[in-house]
Amino acid sequence: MNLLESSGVDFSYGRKTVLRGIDLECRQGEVLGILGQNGSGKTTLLRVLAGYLKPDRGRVMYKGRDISTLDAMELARTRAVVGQSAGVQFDFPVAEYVMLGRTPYLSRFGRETAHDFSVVEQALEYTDTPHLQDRPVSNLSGGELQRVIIARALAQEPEILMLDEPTSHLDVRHQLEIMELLGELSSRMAVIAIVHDLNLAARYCGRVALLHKGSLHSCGPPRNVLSPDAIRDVFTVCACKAENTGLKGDLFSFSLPAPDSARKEVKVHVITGGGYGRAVLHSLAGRGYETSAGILNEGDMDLETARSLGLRVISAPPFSRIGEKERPLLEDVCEGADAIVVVAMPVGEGNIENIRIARDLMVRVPVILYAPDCTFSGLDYTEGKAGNIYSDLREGGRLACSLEEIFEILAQIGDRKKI
Amino acid sequence: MHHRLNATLIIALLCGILAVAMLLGVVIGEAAIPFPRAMAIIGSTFLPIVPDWSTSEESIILLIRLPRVILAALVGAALAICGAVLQSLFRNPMADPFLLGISNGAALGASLVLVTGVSFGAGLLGVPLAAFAFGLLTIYLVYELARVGNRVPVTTLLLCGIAVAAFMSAGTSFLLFISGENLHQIVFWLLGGISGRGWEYVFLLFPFVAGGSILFLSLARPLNALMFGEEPAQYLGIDVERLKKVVLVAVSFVTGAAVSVSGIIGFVGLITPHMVRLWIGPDHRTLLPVSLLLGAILLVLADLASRVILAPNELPIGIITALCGAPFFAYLLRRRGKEA
Repeated sequence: MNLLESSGVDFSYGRKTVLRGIDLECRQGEVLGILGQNGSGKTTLLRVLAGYLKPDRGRVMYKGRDISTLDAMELARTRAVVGQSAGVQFDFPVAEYVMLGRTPYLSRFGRETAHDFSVVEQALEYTDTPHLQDRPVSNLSGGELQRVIIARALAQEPEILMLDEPTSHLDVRHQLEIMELLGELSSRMAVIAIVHDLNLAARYCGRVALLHKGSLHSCGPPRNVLSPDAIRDVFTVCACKAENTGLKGDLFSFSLPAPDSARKEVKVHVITGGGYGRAVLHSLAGRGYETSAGILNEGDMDLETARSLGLRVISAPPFSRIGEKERPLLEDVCEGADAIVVVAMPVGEGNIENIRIARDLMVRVPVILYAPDCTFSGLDYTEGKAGNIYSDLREGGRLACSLEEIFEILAQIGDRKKI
Repeated sequence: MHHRLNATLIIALLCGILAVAMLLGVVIGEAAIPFPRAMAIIGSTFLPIVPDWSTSEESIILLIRLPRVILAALVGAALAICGAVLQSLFRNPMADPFLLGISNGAALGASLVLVTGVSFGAGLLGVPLAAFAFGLLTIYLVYELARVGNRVPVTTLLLCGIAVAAFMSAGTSFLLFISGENLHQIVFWLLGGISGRGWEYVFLLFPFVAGGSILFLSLARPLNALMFGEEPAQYLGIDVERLKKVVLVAVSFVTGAAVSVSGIIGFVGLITPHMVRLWIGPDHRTLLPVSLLLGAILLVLADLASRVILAPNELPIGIITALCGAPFFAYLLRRRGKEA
């Protein structure tokens, strides 16, 4: 049975509609991540799910019971909420602070029982904070405080734990520790967390709900939900998925899209290989140039990069010599491009055809030779042939020694094209 | 847990100090009555002691000083615990029992009776009853003005309090202006004082202070939770809006009752909880009882001072509390600023 279920939840602040038709469910044994842009309604959704805000339409159920029929005390025994923690400025000892979690179990003048103390003790142990219990809460570091707040929530003995950005303001180690902790807790309760870091979500959440402008964009395991396309739709950034990271979840790197669509009209072909073109491909795609790459052997790191960015790629079989078969394809793409970027890379007999084609087309298509720091030493494995071609390219094309220079040249090309 | 034991010790200690302060309050005064005789007079009320004193001495002790000292303790306790509760409810260290204009309303009510002489058939108790009624009316007005649907946002409440208080003050000022020969009486009431109040005032105030204090002490745990914000408190199972209403109504009645018998005695409700917080921390399970006791002690001592300083004349007690309280408050603020 679902511990928590929401169906058709609408919510608005006055006339401003914040949530539209949210259907969600959460079971024990999973961390459900709520993702979305700032202002997409994540915190409001959590407040509705926690029973703090009443939905305009639809309902929220805990264990099959509509929460509008539960009073504050019953709610507090079923779900605990860890809000976005503002600093705490009271000299309240940690043990007493965690004991506040027992509030829904204590009567007005009732004293804490041995059971209450043992629940608090367990909560401290789960969160690895027993050594802090005599310190005042105002005196803790960010990571310690977050753990103590979670301990207080656990002292409520909840079946559903909700957290609003539990890792914000924490350093990377504490972020990982908190996410690990949530994973452990999820074996005993349903855990719902608003997570800002998509990579953390991809790694630690069993399912994620992607919220977009108050509606559910998609919901499911992160592998299915978090695609570069979905991320572009919801967060309006370009996402590049790294392959073979060895981590449990996908790993993305992000870049800002082009500020306007003008750059789309400038087509750039990149000749690269061996991972030398990674930065170039990322920044070209990130800035919105219509980018293609090749010829690249299957298995080449640059090929993987280009594919993960969703670029058009001309490929050749692994470890094969690039030759007559691929040449017309490359010529075709290059002739259609507004510029060819040749990345200075080691050249042997296997890939010399790549730069030879660039030289042959130099008269018709502008070529940018990109050599970080303008060095060409140690790149020629062809007894001078490649070196000669590089010299020709330097003479007939334009040399760029940094990424910025590439973009300056491309901007000029783009301007000329507009005229 | 040893800090709870500490709290019990502190409370016991304060009870002792309060008893001593009250004894001093009974013994010291214009008419010199030796300590053993004063003790014997008090003792004679419940022990079979053969009187060796005059009836006037007996009435000075039992009918003038004793009710007055008890009244001082009750008013001090009421103001201090209400201040502590309001500061927590509003999570605003500047809150005091008079924050929402209750004192201004009470002043207007009292002035009306003093100027017009109409006591609505209540005789001598006309002034306190009118003060009480107007105090409650004011806070009701403030509450209704601030209410948005079912919720009462704290900032709106504070601002409405200021607005209504200003209005009531204007009314009082107008009455002062036209009061003529009653001016002295009104000013004296406004400055706060408990001289010449007999047992009837004690009986009037006691149920409010006792009932209110028990209620507030029972709210210690919810108030602890509320320290960390309204939303987190709600998540801990506390019906915050209901808590606000209950506290506001209770504070109104207790403060209203206190103001009606003593006039406006400033600073006790503001400073006492501050002192206690700095001393033993913010846990309401100790903060509330300790504030209550300390408030009582402070006002008993202030009352004593008001009788002694300009003897045989009496200073209004509100002057003493403000004269001592304001600099001390400034000192606390400076010290806290340096720590932070």
